[in-house]
Amino acid sequence: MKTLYITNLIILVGIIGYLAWKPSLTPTIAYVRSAYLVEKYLGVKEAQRNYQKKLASWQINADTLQHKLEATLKFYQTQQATLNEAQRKQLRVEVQRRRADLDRYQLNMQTKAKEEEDRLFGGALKQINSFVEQYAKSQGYEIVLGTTETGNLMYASHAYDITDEVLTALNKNYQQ
Amino acid sequence: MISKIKHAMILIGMAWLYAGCQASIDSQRALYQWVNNPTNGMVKSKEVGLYRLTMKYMPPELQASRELAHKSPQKADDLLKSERDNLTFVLNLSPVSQSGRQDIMYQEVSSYAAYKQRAMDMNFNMAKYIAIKANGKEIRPGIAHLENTYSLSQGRNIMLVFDRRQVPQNARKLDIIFTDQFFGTGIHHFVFHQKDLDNLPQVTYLDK
Repeated sequence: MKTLYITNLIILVGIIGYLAWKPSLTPTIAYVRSAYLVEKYLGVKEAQRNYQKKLASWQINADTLQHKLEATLKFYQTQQATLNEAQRKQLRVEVQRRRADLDRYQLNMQTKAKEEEDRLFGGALKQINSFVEQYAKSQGYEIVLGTTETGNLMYASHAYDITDEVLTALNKNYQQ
Repeated sequence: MISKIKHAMILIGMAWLYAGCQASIDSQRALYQWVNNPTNGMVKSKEVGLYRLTMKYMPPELQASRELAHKSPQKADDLLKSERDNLTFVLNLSPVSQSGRQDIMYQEVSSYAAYKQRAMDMNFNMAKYIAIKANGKEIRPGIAHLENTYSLSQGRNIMLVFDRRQVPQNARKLDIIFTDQFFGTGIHHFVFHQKDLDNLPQVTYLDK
């Protein structure tokens, strides 16, 4: 009787042990709120600050060109009666040149702003994607979904939401 | 009797700890090992997509040691003295996987003109993209140059030398900021703690 009891106990422990250790057939899934992660990521905030700083410095240059154009134009308008034809022609050329400088600078500024925006924000987004992959591997997640406002995930329990822990680890990694 | 044994063991333990704290470095190899051990805080690494970015502090002792290895006629003391005026770091940019990846100089470039521009920027304009921030002060490197444009390895090293006198003496953290303009990996912070940089054991082999 006692032997049977011990045998049953061993079998039971074995079954429980197997169930506990057997590899899970369902993948470990979690999700992150993508927009929130991007908004709160320090890398994106710094990229935003740097971008604004660059835009401001370019704008100062554009303003200087604009002022020069306006000053030349004003001089031409107020003084044209006192000037001879040759001087008027020279001023008109000067106004055209300054206007062309301004147009060229503004066009160039738009192109550079777009490039800079892509470089800074694209880099920060790459950092997020890369980190989420590293984090998922280290924490044993097999699938991490990113929710977007267009609704690629209709419903998931909050228990699967790892946004806050990913954000904390992501920002810590950024600052070290 | 037991009490005496206890005392003796405590003393032995303390002596062992003291000896551990006073560990010295007696070869260039040991010095490299110390510097390259991430737990000593002299090397920081980040991975973004296909790229690994590693920033390494080069202590004056290591710089002097390298110079001496190149048969510099100067004495170790003089070399150390001049190296202590500098804060030297090496930024390494490499592909994460070494297999099947092409040279980093050719990554994300679409034309020969773009490659030339990259080589030019990495050789001459790196100082624009790197700075140390310490106690709110920003310091640009005096020297920032690519070690070699052509290489057998897939990664590249960029040597960065800052003037130590410009760095606030009471700064406890040195935050090196690299704004990547080449591989689209964004802005990177490599934060070094002054206590880690000061924690290098005594390098004895330079005195010999």
